[in-house]
Amino acid sequence: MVPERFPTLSNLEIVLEAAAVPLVFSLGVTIVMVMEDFDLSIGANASLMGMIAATLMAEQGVSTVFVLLIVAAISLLIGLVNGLVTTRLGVSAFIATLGMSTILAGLTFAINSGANVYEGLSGSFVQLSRMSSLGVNTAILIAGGFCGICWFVMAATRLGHNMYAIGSNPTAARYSGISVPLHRTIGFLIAAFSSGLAGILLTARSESAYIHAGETFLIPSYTAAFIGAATFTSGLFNVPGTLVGVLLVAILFNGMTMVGVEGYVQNIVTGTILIGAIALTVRQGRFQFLGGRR
Amino acid sequence: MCLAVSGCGGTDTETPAQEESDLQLNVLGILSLGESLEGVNRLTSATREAAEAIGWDVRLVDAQGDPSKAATGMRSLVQQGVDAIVDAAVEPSIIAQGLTEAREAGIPVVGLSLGSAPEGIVADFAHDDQGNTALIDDELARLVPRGSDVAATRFLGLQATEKRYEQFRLDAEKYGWNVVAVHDLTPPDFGTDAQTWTQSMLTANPGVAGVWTGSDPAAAGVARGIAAVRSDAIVVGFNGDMDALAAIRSGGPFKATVAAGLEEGAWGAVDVLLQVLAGEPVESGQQIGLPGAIVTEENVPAEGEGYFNVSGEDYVKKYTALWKQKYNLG
Repeated sequence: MVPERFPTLSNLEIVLEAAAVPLVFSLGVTIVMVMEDFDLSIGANASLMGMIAATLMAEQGVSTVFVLLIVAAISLLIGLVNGLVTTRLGVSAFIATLGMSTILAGLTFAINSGANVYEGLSGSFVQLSRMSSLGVNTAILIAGGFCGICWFVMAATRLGHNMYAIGSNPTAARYSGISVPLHRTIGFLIAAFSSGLAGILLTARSESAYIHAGETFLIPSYTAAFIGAATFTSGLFNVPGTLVGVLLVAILFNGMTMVGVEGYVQNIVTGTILIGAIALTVRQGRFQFLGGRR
Repeated sequence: MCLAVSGCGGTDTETPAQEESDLQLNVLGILSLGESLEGVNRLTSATREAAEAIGWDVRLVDAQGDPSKAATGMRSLVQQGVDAIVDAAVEPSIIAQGLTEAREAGIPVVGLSLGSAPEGIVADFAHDDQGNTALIDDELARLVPRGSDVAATRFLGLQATEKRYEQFRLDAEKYGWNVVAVHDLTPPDFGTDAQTWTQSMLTANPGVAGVWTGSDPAAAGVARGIAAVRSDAIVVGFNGDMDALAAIRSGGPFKATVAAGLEEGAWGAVDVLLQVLAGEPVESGQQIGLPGAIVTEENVPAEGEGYFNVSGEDYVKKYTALWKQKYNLG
């Protein structure tokens, strides 16, 4: 029943559509992890951005363009706070972003007293996760475009090279004249922006805003980043590796669903892959998971 | 609809407003499993409306789904000396110590959606999970012929949702459905999880004619998944949540849900508490089933009309008039 339906164009589109939101999340995660930082606020950030966007449209009638601008500004502000708390106050990224995640979860709840927003989203907003005139889901195009930009920045610009230099040896990078706090803050800005974008795509896809919507994506995002680091460039977090990691997870879930594997087994598989990928990455000597900076 | 009796006319004119009630109500405590859960939020909002309609101040503790917060919150309500407590969906075993302390302090506790009323709980107003599942299964049988392929989602973390799934399995056998795929929902966002699963599941099983979910958020996600792959399958939900009503109104693949009279149950819970506080004889440990009703495109409330009124009765008017007459409250 399944073998002939798995390698079809329509199934490929389903896989790509399912991968679009996780890819956007994972790209932000990848960039902060290049510098051995963490951002645990990505899920809560996405939930908050989705709730803000939906509420602005449903209750204030704000246009899609303004909603996107407002969400971009707020998510960047969150990234800035994460960056400043980490680099200026010296709080570990793990603790700072965990605290931020809790704050954002509270704010998300406060907007509508915990209620979902399920009506009133504008047509142009929902279109962000619908079929485009090119015959491909718009979310796939957006995620693909964002991936391309991140790939270019990390591989072909001084900013990206500096970030890798910091991840490799922050002391040497500092002596080389690279501003470590500035680059780490930019990393948090990109992660927060990607979370905001993911929150928008997620809200458009589900045509509703739910206060816990982004939380589900935290573990899969890190899983994809670690898969990319473990398999593509011997321990270095990198954009093409993350893309492969996201697609691998999406294909795995799609395949398991098609053959009727139970949901709990899928969770066991994801957790196992995450541990395996981290173990491989650490073994390659490029990353000390939760062990602090070298 | 006027919720507070004061200023609403009607029975107000029959009793002088300055006459004081014998019942001295200060604070009603509400222990909520999690205000972000729509079903729980409906229960606590209606409880608050009922309490405020008779001049009761409300102190709400939101456990945010955390058992330790629930246990601490229950004890804190007792410590604050509230007159009575409504437990909205927090499993009694989690708050056993608080229940004992409430009993020792003479504070009556009524449950909403607990599924049982052990010692320390005067009464529990809960879904009839099996009965309501049978109702929605009958509706699914009307839409999906015998011998059809069907798929299902389930959540095995709660007694209530497990009961629903067990009943579905019995009904699937009864109606001769071929259950080709079952998905375990991953919390907290059932909708997105169900949507992603549905797209892959329908690609593998294009002959699926119907999807049973046991949950409105999951059904809404399944409906979006069905639309995305342009399948003719239909889906049914459970609870009568707002997103379900909106989806049914839109005329898509989400065809029906079974609504429960949560709000009416909450007003009933406040009524039981008033009986206890007034010293009336009340049998302890009562299990009171909330009535259920099928909601389809034919009877779904219009946008802005709120939740489906299961009994069709104006329970707000009924209880406010009753409390005015019996206790001179409101």
